[in-house]
This record gives sequence, C-alpha cells and structure tokens, in this order.
Amino acid sequence: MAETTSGGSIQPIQHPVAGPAPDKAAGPLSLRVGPLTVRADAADVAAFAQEAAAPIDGTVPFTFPVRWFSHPEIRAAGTKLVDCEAWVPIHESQSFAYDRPLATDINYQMTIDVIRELEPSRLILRAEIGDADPCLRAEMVLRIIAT
Amino acid sequence: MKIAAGQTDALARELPKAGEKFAPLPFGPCNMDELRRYALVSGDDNPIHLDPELARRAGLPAPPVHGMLLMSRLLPALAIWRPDLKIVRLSNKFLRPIFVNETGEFSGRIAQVTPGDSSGSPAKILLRLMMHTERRELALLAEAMTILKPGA
Repeated sequence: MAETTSGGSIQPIQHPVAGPAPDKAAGPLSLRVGPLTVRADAADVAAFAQEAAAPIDGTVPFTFPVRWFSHPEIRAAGTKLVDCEAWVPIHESQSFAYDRPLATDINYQMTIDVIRELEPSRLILRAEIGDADPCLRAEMVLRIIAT
Repeated sequence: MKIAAGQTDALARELPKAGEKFAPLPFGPCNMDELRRYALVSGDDNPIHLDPELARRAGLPAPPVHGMLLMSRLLPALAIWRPDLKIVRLSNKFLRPIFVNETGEFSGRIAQVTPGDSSGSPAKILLRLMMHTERRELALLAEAMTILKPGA
C-alpha cells in the first residue's frame, strides 16, 4: 500500500455486537485503527480506473477507497480478532456514502473500527475518511470461513 | 450531501420517473489475469480470488471474481443507463459468487424519486441495481442514491 502511511494506532473500543456475550478473557471484540494517513496518488487512481472500467480522467473512482482497507494495521486488527488458525474473508456487503468526492494527491485521515461478530462469524469494518471535514463513510462486512 | 454550485439548476429539470427500467447489460467474463490485475490495483489480494485450490477448500468450484470488481463495474453500467445521474451513496450485498470465466448481467430500475425543494436540497433518485449470474441467480443486489449531475 504505497499511498498509505502509518502513524495510527490500534485501540480496543466498546461496541454492541451481535451474537453471544463476549468472553472477557478472550480479549476485545472490536478495535479502532487510526487515524491513518491515506492518499489517492494519481498513478494508483489511473491504474485502478483502468481495471474498474472507470473513466481515466483524474477523478477518483467511487470504489477506490477499498484499497485503503488492506492497510497492514487494519489487517493486523482483523487477525487479532479472529481466533482461527486458517481462514479467509468472504465479502458479504459493502457501502460507500460520500459527502463530497475525493481528490487525487491529497492526504486524508482514515479511522476504522474493526468489529468481530461471532454468530455468524464476521468482521465488520466501519471507516470514516476526511480531512478537516468528513468526506465519506464506508462499511465492509466480511464473512469468516475456516479453510 | 452538500449542494454544489449548479446543483440547484437540477431542481428545474425534468426528473426521472420511478419504475423506469434499465436494459440489461452484460458483464464479463473475467479471466485469472484480470483478477490478478484487480488484486494488484485494489490491494485485495485475498487468495480465494487467485488460488483455485484454496477456493476449492473453501467450498467453491473456482475462484470468485472480487465483489468489489463487480461493484466497480456497476458504475460504468449506470453511466450508460443514466449519464445524467451521479451516485452519492452505494450499498451492495454480494449474494452469490460470479466465478472466473463466467458471465453475468447487470439490470436495474428507478425505485423512488424525491423532488428537491426550495431550501436547496437536491432531488434524490433511488436506484435498485442487480446482477445475475449466467445461471440466472441473483449475485449482487445494490441500492444507489443519486442526484442529477449539474448541467446534465
């Protein structure tokens, strides 16, 4: 992830989660990651647009922020919350809600809550991205499948 | 959604009609090279999309196309159907996989139209969008909130 930089942190947070009451000994069921600095570099935007069949006109494709969900700190939080040796995430749902479009070559701050649900086994990732003001909110729901 | 300059012009324009259906548009097929390239540009290198053996262990007959690639390809379809609309919110449920080398079909309709008002709130056009597999199973169900593009 060339366009994301560190500077964030991973903190336990309190969230209502579906499924049985959490086992406190098992650790937190949700973690907050960030704020992370993220950026839509023009070259990455053009490459993404090419594969997404989006216009290559310098605008940031609507779904481009999915790229930021693969930040190592977010993956680390997911791994910490899933107590399963071998698993893959299956994408169940995704949403983006924009207050305004993203621009290329500008730094944004992204804060993301990674929430573990147990029954069924899922990770829910809720992100807020903006600069001085909010820009967009995104939610990703992943079903956890043991392999 | 804040009102940008020019969006109030849309208040005076004719709005789409609820119930308007969009002609089906084809998707794919996507081959493994395309999935590898999408993994690279999106950061989604989940091996289930790239490794047939892992896909098999997860109970799938072949690697599925990335859900986000399907979602991304909805947007050019909308630009063909209604180039005058701009998406501000998009929610997708990935119900069934589309596998590598399979085709699909996008379709949709205008579900609801809420006119703008004199306070500057733009008209909102709610779309229901779908994608079916070549087996005619519903693969993707989406809801898109759109507004009229300024000057469209």
